[in-house]
Amino acid sequence: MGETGRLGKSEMAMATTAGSSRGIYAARVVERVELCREHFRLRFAVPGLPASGPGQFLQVQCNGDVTARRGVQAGGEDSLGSDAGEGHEFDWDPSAGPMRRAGRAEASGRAGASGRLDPSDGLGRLGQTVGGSGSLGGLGGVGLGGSMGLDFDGPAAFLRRPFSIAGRMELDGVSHVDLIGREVGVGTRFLSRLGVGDEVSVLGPLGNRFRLPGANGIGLLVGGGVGIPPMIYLAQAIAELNRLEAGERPRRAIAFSGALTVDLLALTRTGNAPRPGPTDFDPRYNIGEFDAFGVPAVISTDDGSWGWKGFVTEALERYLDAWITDQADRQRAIIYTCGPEPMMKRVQEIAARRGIACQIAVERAMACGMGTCQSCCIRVKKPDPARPPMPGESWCYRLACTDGPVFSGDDLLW
Amino acid sequence: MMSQLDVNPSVDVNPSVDVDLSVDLAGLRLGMPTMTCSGTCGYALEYAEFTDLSKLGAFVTKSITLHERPGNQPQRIVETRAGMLNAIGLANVGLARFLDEKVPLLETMPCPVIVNVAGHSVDDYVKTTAGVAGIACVRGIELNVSCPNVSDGLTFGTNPKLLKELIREVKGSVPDKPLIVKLSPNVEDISVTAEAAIAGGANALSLVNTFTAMSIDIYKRKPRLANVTGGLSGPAIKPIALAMVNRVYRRVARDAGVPLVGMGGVQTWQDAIEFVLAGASAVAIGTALFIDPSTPERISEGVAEYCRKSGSKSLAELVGKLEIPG
Ligand SMILES: Cc1cc2nc3c(=O)[nH]c(=O)nc-3n(C[C@H](O)[C@H](O)[C@H](O)COP(=O)(O)OP(=O)(O)OC[C@H]3O[C@@H](n4cnc5c(N)ncnc54)[C@H](O)[C@@H]3O)c2cc1C
Ligand SMILES: Cc1cc2nc3c(=O)[nH]c(=O)nc-3n(C[C@H](O)[C@H](O)[C@H](O)COP(=O)(O)O)c2cc1C
Ligand code: FES
Repeated sequence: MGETGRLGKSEMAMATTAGSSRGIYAARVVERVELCREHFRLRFAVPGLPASGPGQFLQVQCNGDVTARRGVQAGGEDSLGSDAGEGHEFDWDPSAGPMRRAGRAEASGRAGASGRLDPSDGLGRLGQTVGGSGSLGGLGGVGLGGSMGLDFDGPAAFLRRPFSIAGRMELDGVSHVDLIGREVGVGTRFLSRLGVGDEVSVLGPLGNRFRLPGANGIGLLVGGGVGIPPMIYLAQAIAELNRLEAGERPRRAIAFSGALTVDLLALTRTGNAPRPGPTDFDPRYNIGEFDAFGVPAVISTDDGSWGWKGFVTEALERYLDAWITDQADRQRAIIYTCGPEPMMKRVQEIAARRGIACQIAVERAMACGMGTCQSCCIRVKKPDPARPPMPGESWCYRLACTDGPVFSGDDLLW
Repeated sequence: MMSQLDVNPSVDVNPSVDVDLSVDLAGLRLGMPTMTCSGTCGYALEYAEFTDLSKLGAFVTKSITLHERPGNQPQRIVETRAGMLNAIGLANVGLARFLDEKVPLLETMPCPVIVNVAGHSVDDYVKTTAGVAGIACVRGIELNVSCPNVSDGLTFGTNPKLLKELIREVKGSVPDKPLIVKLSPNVEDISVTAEAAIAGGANALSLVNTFTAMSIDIYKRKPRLANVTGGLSGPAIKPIALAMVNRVYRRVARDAGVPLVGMGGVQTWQDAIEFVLAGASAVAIGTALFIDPSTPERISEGVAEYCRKSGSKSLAELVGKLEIPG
């Protein structure tokens, strides 16, 4: 845990936007981009969202609630004494197909809700129930289908779902945030179906933040899959900090990202940059998301379809061994990582072996995100093994949602 | 899925002016009929940024045990249809740290504080209760005798004789504050344990805790929770919880004059009214707080509007007013 989550003076200055306390905000989709075969980016206008920083996340309500709420407010008087007001006692109607649902979404005026069917639905994915269908007969149900973390092929996500902030900007005085998602279950499917004009409820910003590199520092941003979003926000924050300080000793950042194959790379490749060869781990300005902040990237694909052929962790190691070799460089470098757990564990090892600081943003199943349910525990080194609980043990639990999601690589035991 | 604001109280009417929503919980006066459920709202001010805690009838802490507990291994939760399973395993800071770290925060709580106490033995319960009972800001004790996720906690909640003895012992250390006993639904007849709790000296009852349940990953052929089973909460359990409140009210609580706190899947004001008609004097909101910590406030607004529209001067007059034909 160490210094993560505590704000330095310059980071304070960066915590730009207004809004004193965190809360629940309406977020309206203003842009939607398909990043690759599986990942999509949604840009939301979130008026009033309090200051945030990279590493933080939002709890997104991935069901029809907000739409339902708007509908009910309009005709609210009638709900007294009527069953319809009781939003949660819905009929389970397995016979209703997706087309009907799409129709319902449109009928209820949700402009842009595409009702698009996903071809990956159904067979073939591990942990995915077959032929997801089912419908919410009650208010505003939209999501459906297969799931991984749930025990049902359900009609709608009940709890909120956590998503890292992938970038933040003020446009016309209104806070905008980017979220990047990939459909893995009922909640992410709901998100994947949002279109411009749709509105969802977000709660946050939650969690702690990455500790930014000090002056003249080097940030190595290692993101895989849905671990890429916080790295984009981090690149932005480092660039903003440099600009704010306008100093002589700016921080440098280099992004490392990987995917199985180029079609699954959740980033925008820009054609105007040379494409690295199979043995080339030199950073290039060829990824739009990072290039926008002056950050070069090393991209790897397992199959070599773009960039370095192999794992992103191998590219990282090569790079470190070529460029971050002396003690001074290692001291001013911080490796940041977020993504699949095996990748993060490997990055943690790579950093530890070289004595480079490492900040890891973990993912845990979360119900609340606010530190109340105790569901998101993760093992860390106990500062004093003699202390309870379990005196004599060298580990204890911390909450990924409030003590994290960012932990120091030295502390994290998983 | 849920309609979060099913009623839209007109802005010019102040709910507290024309309708009396206050609750007399065994001598403890609550300004609002909504409480939090233990374990779903942290220790003190975790939700302070997200909702106005002064709009709560009472705040109920996470279960506190004599010694700190790390809790179960993850995976600790699974979402299920209209609800969730949890097997947290009573992870909590323990009495000593609670007194040091949490009580100073609770002293600033803008609503009455009730401390939930759990334990393994009579001695545990008595010591922990005695440790918090004297604190001025602690206005009541709720006894968790029903956590389904620890191997030995359940015996008290399911064995009427043990329960009665436990409560008799514990009541000795809280003579002047309400002792609320939280009942387990994992019993054959909840009115039997309710009766035992009242006989032991419970001043109020809260019901229900979570239902023992499980979820299986059919591809791995393994339980989804590391603890194998967990407790089911959320809208999925509301109809069952309601039936239990109704049963306990009619069989024992009404005649004994013991108020009930209804809980289990409460998410809307309609849910709250149902519980009140079934016999609850107040309701507690748990899982719904994860989605929206201001749920209690919205429920109170809706309840006030319901009272106004149905011509009731107070919520208290609706308690148990369920009309059963025949
Ligand atoms: C701090 C944080 C940041 C995240 N950022 C992103 C992001 O930027 N983009 C993105 O696409 N995804 C992100 N995720 C993962 C995302 O939250 C899950 O993919 C999403 O909850 C899946 O929901 P679902 O209904 O589609 O899937 P389902 O599998 O149908 O249901 C998910 C359910 O399983 C639980 N669950 C079980 N195991 C896990 C686990 N290891 N991680 C998360 N939830 C689990 C969840 O609590 C939820 O209730 C993040 C997760 C966390 C904790
Ligand atoms: C994550 C979680 C943790 C809980 N922890 C406790 C606890 O420590 N002590 C307790 O008495 N009840 C605990 N409960 C049970 C709730 O207080 C409540 O009785 C139950 O969840 C039913 O209400 P709900 O459906 O509104 O959540 C917990 C419930 C959940 C979901
Ligand atoms: S998600 Fe509830 S405590 Fe972390």
